[in-house]
Amino acid sequence: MSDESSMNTTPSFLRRLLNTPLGDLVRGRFSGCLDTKAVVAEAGLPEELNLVVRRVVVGTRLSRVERVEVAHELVDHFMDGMAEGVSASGLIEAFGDERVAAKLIRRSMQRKRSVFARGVRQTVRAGVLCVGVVVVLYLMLAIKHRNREVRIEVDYVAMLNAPTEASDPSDRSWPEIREAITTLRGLAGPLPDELMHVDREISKIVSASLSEAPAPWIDAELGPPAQRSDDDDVEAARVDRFFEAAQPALERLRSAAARPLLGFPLAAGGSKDPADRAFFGMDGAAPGVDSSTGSEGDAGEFHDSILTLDFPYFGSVRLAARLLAADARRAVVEGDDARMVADIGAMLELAEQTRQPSIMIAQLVGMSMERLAFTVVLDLIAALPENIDDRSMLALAEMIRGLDDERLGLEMAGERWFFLDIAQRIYSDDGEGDGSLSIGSSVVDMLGTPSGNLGPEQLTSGTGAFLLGPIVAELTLGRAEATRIWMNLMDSAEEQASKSPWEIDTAPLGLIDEIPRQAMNDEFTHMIRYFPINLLVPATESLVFTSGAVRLERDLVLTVLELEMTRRRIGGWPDTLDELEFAAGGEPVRDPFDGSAVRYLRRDGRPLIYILGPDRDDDDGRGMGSVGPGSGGWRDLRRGGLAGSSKQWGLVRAPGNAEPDGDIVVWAAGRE
Amino acid sequence: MRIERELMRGAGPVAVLSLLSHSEMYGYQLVETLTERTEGTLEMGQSTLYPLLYNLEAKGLVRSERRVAENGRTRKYYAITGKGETRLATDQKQWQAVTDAMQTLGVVSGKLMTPGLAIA
Repeated sequence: MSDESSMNTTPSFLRRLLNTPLGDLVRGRFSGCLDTKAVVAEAGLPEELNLVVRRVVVGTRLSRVERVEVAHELVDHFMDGMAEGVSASGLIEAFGDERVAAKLIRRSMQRKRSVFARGVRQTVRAGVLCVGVVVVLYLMLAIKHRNREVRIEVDYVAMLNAPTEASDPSDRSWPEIREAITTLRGLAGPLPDELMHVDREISKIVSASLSEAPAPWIDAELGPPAQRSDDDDVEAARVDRFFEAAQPALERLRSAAARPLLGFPLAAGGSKDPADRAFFGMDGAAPGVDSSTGSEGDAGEFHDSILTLDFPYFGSVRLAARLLAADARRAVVEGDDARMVADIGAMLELAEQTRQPSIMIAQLVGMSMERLAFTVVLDLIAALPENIDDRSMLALAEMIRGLDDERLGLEMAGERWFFLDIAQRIYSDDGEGDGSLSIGSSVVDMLGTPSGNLGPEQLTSGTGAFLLGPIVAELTLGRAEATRIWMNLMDSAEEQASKSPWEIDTAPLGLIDEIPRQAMNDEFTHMIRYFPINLLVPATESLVFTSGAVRLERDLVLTVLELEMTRRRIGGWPDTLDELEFAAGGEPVRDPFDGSAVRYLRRDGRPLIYILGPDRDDDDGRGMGSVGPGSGGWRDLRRGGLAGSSKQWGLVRAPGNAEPDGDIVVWAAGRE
Repeated sequence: MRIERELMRGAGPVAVLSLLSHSEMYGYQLVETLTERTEGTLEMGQSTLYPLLYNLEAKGLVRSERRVAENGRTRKYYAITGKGETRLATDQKQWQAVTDAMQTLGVVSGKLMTPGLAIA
């Protein structure tokens, strides 16, 4: 017996396991019956015959089951020959050409296969071929995409910070705002430990003060809001004490507002300035830590990008504006209308500072501060006009008239930089403004995040995403095309924002590359192709209407100021708005629904200004009923004043069920 | 005398079917019997026989069965099927016709064997 045979008479368990058909395994038998070597070895043939059998069997390239069958056949044949006394060499000579034998045996065995078996093998073969083709294509794509180089050449964060860096420190308002609020924190006690909670405490005091007399004109007209805030529960005496003690700090806020720019140094994680970090309670975290990941400053491709910037000062400047708004109201109640004018002016200047850099969120915060200032003026003239002398009236009118359309306009430069900054980090650079997505693997991972929450963590994890990345990268838009679409979106937003509200065309705002935005989220192919535009594009429609609302509210304030000055001049409310002189220029505010002058009437001796409402029909100032869609019905629309109906503005009218019958009062005097 | 390959390709299956029409046989037995009965004329090596058998099996003309033989070893035995017998009858007629034609032409001479290979 040969060595081979002896070796295989006791095959290892693993060998038997690997050579056992699945059926036997299911039955718990480790037969090892597919082991061709064992079959040959067990026969005990001379080694030269063993080798012939094995070479022929291997040469057939048949399945293991078929090989075993052939091996048995040949072994039997040789053993019969040996039994007949034929020598091994004689048998080998009689056998014929091994290669020819293997080839013929292969063909004939293949013919023996059943139709089903042939079908299965053909299918498997085709499948393997397809997989092979896919793998080759994938590898080509992977090599193509992973070899492309990303070049981060422009420091857009530095560009955003350039005005601050170039400014004289004495021109920056932020340090003084920070110091003023720090002082105010000391006045709000007893205080919680957390700084954010301290500011919340100040905010509660401000809210309580804002809800005190004089009541907002809308509350006087329509009654108090259905739900009042818990903030209103602050004791009145505490509010008084706070504002009395706060005057020096408020004066510092007014002083800060008079400076040319805010000067907050933008950085990932908020600020690198120790004074700022202490102010925001970030002492425990290392500077440059990305707040979105909580990780150290190195945020992969997005390290030091606009995407990682935090704007903690927004809360502080908004708090400053609210403090000034509350103080303006208190000043008029106290008969100090000059202080009120100073407070309103400071609010508008802080808003202007906040609008820079011109990223969307900064502009929205700035707009909200401007609208707060307008609301204060409207409330005060409605409730306490007698406490505002002519000089203050004129000062207010001049100040607000100075807010021209350019000053209140929408600027998307920061949003353009935002995309360009991301583009230079996620696209390769061919040197001519084009390239392809270079982190496709992360893209898939991000697209798998339903919230579409864009952040470095989502962009750098996921094995499955890594493998699919090159394919996705091939399917997404190139850098030049994506940049072109983004810039078109920004152009469109700026163009529509420059129009009057009744001329705004929302259709182009709802499209990305001629495709409805909703489809970007609903259709997977669009989600892939238009990444990352579909995830990054801001709600430009809302931004455009908000921008339009700020300009209209400015005009409304000017109209109301002119109305009050006319009353003083003629000794009573005019019969029509045509009696307003607008000596310094201007005209009555336009109705956002039809572009004509707003409607004016006197009801019970009180003047009332209203707009048409979504039905674009004049209902003689009658408000719409309270019944409507949603939990609040038409209540929000009725209480929203001029800007509350902004979603219904524009050339394209909202669906029929969103057109309540009735008008919207946008200002009413509190007395005859 | 060795037969040309092309001629063997036609004669081999008929010869094997003819042998199996009398009794089942295993591979080595078939080779030996063919060689012996044809005095080496239709001798074929394993490299020819087994593919031939597999082809016949694929066509359903023979069937095989592996079982223990008298000497205690397992062997694979081949037997002709009904379909194989029908095919054999057809092939015999054709061979007869060919041989008759060859005789007429003087290509072959002498007595013809009765259909099939005579078994002693």
